[in-house]
Amino acid sequence: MTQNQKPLTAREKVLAFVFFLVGTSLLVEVGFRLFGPKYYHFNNMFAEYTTNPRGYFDTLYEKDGQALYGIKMNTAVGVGGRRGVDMRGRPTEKILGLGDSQAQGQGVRFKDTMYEQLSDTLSNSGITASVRNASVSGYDLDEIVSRYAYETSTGAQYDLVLYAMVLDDYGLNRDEIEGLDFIQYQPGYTFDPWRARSAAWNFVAHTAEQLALSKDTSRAYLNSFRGKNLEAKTEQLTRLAQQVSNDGGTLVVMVLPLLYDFENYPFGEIHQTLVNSASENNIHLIDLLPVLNTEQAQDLWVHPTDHHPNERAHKMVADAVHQYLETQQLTESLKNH
Amino acid sequence: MALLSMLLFILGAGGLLLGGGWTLFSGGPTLANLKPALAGLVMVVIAWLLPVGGGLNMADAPAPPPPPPPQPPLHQEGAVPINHHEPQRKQLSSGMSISVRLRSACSTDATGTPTCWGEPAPLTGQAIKRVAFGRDHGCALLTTGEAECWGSAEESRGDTRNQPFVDISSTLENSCGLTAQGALRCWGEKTVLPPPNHRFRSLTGGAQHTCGLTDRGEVLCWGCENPKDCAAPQGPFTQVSAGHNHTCALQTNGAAQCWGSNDSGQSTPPNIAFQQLSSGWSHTCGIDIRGQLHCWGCDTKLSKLFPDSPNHCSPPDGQFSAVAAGDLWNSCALHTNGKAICWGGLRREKEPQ
Repeated sequence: MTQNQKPLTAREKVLAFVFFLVGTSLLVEVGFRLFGPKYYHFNNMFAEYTTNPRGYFDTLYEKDGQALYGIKMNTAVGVGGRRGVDMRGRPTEKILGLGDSQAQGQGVRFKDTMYEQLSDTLSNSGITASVRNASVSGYDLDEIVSRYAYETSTGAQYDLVLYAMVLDDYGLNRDEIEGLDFIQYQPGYTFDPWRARSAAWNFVAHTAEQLALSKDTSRAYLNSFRGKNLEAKTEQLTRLAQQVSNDGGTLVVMVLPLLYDFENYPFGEIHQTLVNSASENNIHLIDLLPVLNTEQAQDLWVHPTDHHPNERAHKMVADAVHQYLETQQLTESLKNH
Repeated sequence: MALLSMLLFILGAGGLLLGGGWTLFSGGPTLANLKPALAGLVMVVIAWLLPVGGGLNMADAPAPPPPPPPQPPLHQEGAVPINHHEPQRKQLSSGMSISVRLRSACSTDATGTPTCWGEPAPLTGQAIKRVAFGRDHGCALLTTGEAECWGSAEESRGDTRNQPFVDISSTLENSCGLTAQGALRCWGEKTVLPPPNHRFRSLTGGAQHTCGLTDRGEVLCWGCENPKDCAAPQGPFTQVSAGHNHTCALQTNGAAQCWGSNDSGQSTPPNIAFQQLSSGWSHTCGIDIRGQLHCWGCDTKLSKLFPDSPNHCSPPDGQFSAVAAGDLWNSCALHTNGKAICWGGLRREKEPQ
């Protein structure tokens, strides 16, 4: 303002202030659009993704002009499980693989699943035994135990029974959780359309979501491994191990960590609890946290919207399990076939 | 669209700031001075209202999906795929039925209003006669005769979408619909059609096989992995229900007759007169003529593994109008008061409140 200009009137000051607010808001919005957290809508209930960042997925189909990507799964193993397209010529299935969608391989090709990669590794080491993948999305411990009973109800016998345990297998109280459970959104979650329209709002909502995730959801996970529930589930797992032994096999539990914030991993207590209880009850257990936390958690995701383990994580798991089996000499019975 | 939105946004923001600055320092808020700012504001608004989220970081963001259809009260267990064949519908009280598989169940009341619990079945809320679950798919037979299906088998339905049916069935891989003329239309994978020249009045799907009750009361089964499992005895029968690898049918005198797999005793029914049967994964349940429930074929190993659970073959007391035997020795039944009760397996407490 030069000496000859009049000072701003009150109206002009108000106008200036309004423009300042609007301008700043717009700059903030631009900033978040450029540098803020990305907006993604979780859609991993059907394992269909709107992007293919690693170039790993197949194009499933187009919807409303947009391609959807993913891996089509063949789950024709009994009443659910995982198999490949052509299963001819595979070695005899002398190992039973149990678990949920993580072991089933959501978002991962059959040949890249942990159980199939383990089958390949065993084959390469001269052991002709493959893994029957009876993992089904959503199974928890009780269902896995029942599935074992089903798989052996016709007299089938397995030298090894591998159980890929996920930290929600002990019965997560989902009433304590809203939004994410570190793996996927919960049913009933309502989509906020303004997260797609405003990057600034998306940042606020994302931050709040992460805070709730770390607080409420973590607590739900930790609570499921405490008190009477822990006691009951430990007994259940012990009964399973005993039944497998009675049937002539050996149970090996593989504890998969949640792929979340390995630098400040909030579930170390759970892993330690599981290690301790397995030791006390003479159950073979592999804690895969030290195996997987050598990488960034997000590098092991199937997709930014789907925190199931990707093919790289599956390979790391398969290698670690193979090493454990060799070290514990649990492959000896397989060599006799 | 996202790039256009971003460009408009940046240009608009720039115009707004420029116009605002010009207004303040060049001579006050006259209309002429405000034009750049107003133009910028308009561009920003347009950018914000464009259908895709816009912004460089949001270029991959899809359009917001429509909200999911309202679901009945559910037990929240997370996304999973569906398993299991469909158990036979009940015929005791007209319009009422119940179907169950591992992770969810659906029942219908006398008006056909469905209630589902456990894993959500994507029904649209229309009145249905029954639901038939497969592994990754399922179908609901609407009271209008249309089959509302979802999942993997839906993609291969072709012109069956417009075909009215009087009954439906699902195996793990496919589904079939029964026309009013007694003929079958099937879709999905590994579809196998029955021998020709038979008119059917009801269908039931097992794991791989399908059975039909003919107009003459005979049972025909097809699609079995083991041909012996499809060798139905001579009738006449009034109802048939296919399990995983076994099948049970009701004779005219109420006696149950079963064939196929019998490794846990699921094909050895008690000597009781029944009015409805349902064959599950590897157990069978039935409602006797007094409305009481009976189940048989439960694996003893499961009792050892779940010592604290009620015996899976000990259903609740009471009067029931429909029963459905599901996966992993899970069963549900409709009480005569309309309430659904589940027991056995693992989800006995998860029926709707």
